[in-house]
Amino acid sequence: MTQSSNRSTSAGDIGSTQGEFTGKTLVLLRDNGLQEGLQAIRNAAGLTQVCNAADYTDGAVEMADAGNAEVFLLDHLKLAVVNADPNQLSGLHAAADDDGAIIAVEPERMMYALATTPGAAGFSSDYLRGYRDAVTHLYDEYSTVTADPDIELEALANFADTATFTWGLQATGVNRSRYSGRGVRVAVLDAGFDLNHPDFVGRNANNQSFIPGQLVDDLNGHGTHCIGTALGAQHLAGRVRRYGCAFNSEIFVGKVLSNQGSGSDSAILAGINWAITNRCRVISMSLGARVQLGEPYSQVYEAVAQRALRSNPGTLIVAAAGNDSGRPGLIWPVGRPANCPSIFAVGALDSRLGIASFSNGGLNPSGGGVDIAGPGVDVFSSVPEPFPAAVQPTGPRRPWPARYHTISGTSMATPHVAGIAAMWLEALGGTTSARALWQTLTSRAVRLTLPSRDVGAGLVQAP
Amino acid sequence: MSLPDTVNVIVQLEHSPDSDLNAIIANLVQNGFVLGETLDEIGVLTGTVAASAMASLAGVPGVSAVEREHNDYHTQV
Repeated sequence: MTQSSNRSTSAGDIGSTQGEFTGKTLVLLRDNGLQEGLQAIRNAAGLTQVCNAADYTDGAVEMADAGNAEVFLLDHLKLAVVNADPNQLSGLHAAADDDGAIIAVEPERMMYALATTPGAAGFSSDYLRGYRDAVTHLYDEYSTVTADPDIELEALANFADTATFTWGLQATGVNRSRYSGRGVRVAVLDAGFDLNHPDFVGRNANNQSFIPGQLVDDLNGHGTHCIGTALGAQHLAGRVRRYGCAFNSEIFVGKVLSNQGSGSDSAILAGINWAITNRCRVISMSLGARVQLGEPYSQVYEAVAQRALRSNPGTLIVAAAGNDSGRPGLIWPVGRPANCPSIFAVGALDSRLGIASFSNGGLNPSGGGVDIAGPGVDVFSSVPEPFPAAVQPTGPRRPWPARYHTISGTSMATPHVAGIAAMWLEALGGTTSARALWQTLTSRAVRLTLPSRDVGAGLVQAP
Repeated sequence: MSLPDTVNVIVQLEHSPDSDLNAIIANLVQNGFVLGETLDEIGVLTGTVAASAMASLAGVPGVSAVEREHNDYHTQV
């Protein structure tokens, strides 16, 4: 991530990624300039009430004191956590740009504050680990001498489909993982599924159509493609590369889009209701509707997603950020319903880990951020067989061939993330909460130099 | 068949164990709401209402949001 892109993740984006950030700000100070750093914070933002961890015996800070202070100074880490309003934040950023006592300014991520296990000095181990990671992260970004393995990976990235794996499975580490989503129920809400596809013989697919007059059979092809990516088999019927992530997860097929590939709130919400009733832990939605700049997110979807996340153990709803952009000239905001803060929004990357030209960005200030990115360009997966042209929708790039097809979209990135989420649930244990799953996916993503506006935490990674 | 001035709506209910779903629905119906589906797990009702009466639904106790249904969702391919 470049300095300029990092600046863009500050004041304006704190609100746009609601649920990820605490509202406080991390200020990284120079190693040998603690007092100068405090003075710089005072000068830049007028913040004078300081709670210094050094003033407490063995660093056992009263967290109430820390929370009430304008500046909470972690002297050993050379880090200050500040309560700053937007004007004060602007001053801090300007001070960081001056190359003085302040090295970097970033929003404090919520994952660092979700602590469960008390540790040394009155802090939980997760909290301390979070700060350690934050400091490491900031140093990695701003140091001119420290190599960053993620960035090296990105610079060298040029993935390609091989005889055994798609490029997407390689880039996300699915091909190297020992997990398969075993025991995890995943719902794919889409245009249905070819229940007789040769690669799914012997797999049970629970299914329900929410489209009046249409069976769950996929006469569009999009649903079968997405299910293939999320849940496709490890060993395939023909001599073909593996394309699926969570091959041992239980398949739940909700048809909420018609065979033409379109749908309504009532079908989508009925599908979400069905999936949660059936205790699906992950819901994958490769669908969306365009929103305008400044348009708010749906309160109904946000309430639904919050309730899903907070229930025990909860359900993670993953959705496509949308394909409305035409980069580099035109970036469109994340579509509905992925623009809800509590829905995990997925952007699309190509095989060189560049942002896909069509992938939407986190432009709207209230909600509407991209949370993570996945492989979404030239993605090989299953489509129905047989698949005569006569049953398919008409339009550009139609008809599709039978059995397999290679296509692009944030629709293709989304099931990568959903399948990998199921793999993580197996790895972490079945009682892992949906919120912990969200944090794991973001914290384990490979960071990219691309703006978080476009890729969120970075490229999704399998356990 | 819907009358010309009716709109499809989605209604979000407040998340409370003390809520009386039947009473909320009855109150909505009194305000012109025609119930379609009850989605218990996510606390959502779908249905129709006269466009002119849509705002009144939001004021019914136990209702947290009322939105006009969108039908412009598409695959993102």
